Amino acid sequence: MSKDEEMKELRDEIEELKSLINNLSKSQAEAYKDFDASAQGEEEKERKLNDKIQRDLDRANRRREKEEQRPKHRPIVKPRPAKPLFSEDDFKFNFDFDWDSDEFKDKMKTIMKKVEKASEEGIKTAKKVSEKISKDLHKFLEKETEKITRAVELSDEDYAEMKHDVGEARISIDEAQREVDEARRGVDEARRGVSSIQRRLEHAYRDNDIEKQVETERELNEAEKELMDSMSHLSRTRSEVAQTKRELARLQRRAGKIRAAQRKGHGPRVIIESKDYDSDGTITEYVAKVVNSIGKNLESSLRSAVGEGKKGVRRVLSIGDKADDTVLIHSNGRVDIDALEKFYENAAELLSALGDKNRLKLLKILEDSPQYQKELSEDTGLRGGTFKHHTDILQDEGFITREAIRGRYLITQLGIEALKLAEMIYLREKQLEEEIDIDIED
Amino acid sequence: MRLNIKNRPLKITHSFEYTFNNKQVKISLSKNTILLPVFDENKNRQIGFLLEGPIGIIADLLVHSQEGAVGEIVEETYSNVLLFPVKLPFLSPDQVKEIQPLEDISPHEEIIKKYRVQLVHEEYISYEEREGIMIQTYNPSSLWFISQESTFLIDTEEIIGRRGEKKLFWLVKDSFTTVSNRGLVKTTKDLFSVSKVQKTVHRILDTPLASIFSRFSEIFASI
Repeated sequence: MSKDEEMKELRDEIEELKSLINNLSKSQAEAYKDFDASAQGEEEKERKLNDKIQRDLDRANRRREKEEQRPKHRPIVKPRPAKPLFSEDDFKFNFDFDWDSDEFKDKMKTIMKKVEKASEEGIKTAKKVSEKISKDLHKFLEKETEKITRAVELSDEDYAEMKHDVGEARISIDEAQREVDEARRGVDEARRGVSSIQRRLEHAYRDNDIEKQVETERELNEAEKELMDSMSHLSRTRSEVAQTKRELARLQRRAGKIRAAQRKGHGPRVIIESKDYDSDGTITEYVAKVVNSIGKNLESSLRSAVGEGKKGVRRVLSIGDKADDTVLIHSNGRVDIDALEKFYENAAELLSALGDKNRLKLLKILEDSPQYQKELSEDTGLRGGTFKHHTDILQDEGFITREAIRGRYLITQLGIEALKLAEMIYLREKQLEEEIDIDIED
Repeated sequence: MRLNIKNRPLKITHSFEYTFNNKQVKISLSKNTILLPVFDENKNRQIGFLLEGPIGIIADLLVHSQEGAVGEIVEETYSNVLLFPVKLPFLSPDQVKEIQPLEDISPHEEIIKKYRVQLVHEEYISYEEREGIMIQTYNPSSLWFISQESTFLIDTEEIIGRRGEKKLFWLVKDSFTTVSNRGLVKTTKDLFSVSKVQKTVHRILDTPLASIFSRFSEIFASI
């Protein structure tokens, strides 16, 4: 082997060694690096641990300090607010959703189908319901319109008939009036004729003309007969006129009734020129109330007073105190007049207690509510002895009573009935007066 | 309940009248009237007083209605009565004084034995808390209940109760009348209704006092 070859081998070996050294140094460097890294990690771990321990310690210290600072008594704990049924998250939509996915599309298709089906069903039921409602409504409307038309027709018919009757009555009144006028004229003429004949007769007597006397006497007789005839005709015509007027008044009353019925809603309003003093039914209602109240009490007192009666014995009704037997009305309606003395006395006393406007005023005030003496005195204007005089009379007859403790005056059941009776008599009298006025006007 | 009295009498120092807050009842007590404490024997606890002497009671048991005044003014004087509860609104320390024990208490013991009282005193009504006092009389036998707004009288002849200004409940022999809050008067002479009410009231008499006011409230609620 030559030197060159040996040199080459040596160089190769050197190269190999160099590469080995490099590798070794690299691995050494890596080893150091690894070592350093591991050393650093442990330190960090240790540091973290220490930090955690420190934090725990700090937290424990803070808690201890807080506990020391906390007051010994139990603080007022506010009640926790009630948990809502739905949180806000329930209403938040999740938008991280793949809208283009097949699954979503399928789901949407099925939902849409369901919705369509439901909407179809909904439309069907809505149609059914609306049809039913419209049918019912139609029926109801038909009924109502029928009722209304019937009412309208009725009242219109009544009104037309009544109007016709009134017209006829008016015509007949006019005719009769004309007849009356004619008759009156005839009577006047006859009277004038009679007076002229009487004058002629006087002249004949003065002239002693017997023929003329006989003739004028005959004429006078005839004229007197004529006068009598015309007077009787006049009275007959007058009575006819009066009858027709009465008929007219009746028709007018009927018209009033129709108007009242129409006002209550039984038909259209027809304006008729006639007086109706109780168009809103207040008086009727009031009178009915009064009559009902009095009737009830009368009924109960009669019921309690009526004896059962034995067989074959005539049943006797006793009004008032049963033991008193002051008023006796037999079942056949015959009244025992002689046994009524006590009734006359007591009834007169009761009515005389009512026979004063101040006392009626007192009763009227007390009808609403109980009153103290001061209030009553102010309202009535009665003072001292006069006030006491009137209240004593009312108290004696049992129309009012007085509380034992507060001293308020109260109207009794008898007092209310007496007051209502007085009001009813007053209203009745007024009503009768108005009826008479209407007849006179007509 | 067995009642007992103790010989620790009180005496009324001067005559006086007392009107209850409901303005429906006034009582008048005379000077030298004696009050003896009444005890429940089982519980050994004072529940009221036995009053020996005249006591006058005037009550406006009438109300205004649509048909006029309904009810009556009751005026009674009793010689001996039981008063409940212990704390009575009309007895203040300046109106009574303690006196020496009585020499002979046996007549009072005899009287107290005649009273039949159905009470549960634990639930007893005090005037302030539940607004009720009771007066029980022996001869004639009657019961008075007086509260801050009502008065009831139950005796052998009639049963009458007034509640406030408007309501009234009145049972006499063969008729039963009520006045409602609106002043409406209802009277029944139907014997079935009357006997039914009588039964109800007699049932009330056998009930403990604590329940009586509520029972009356029930009756009034149904009117």
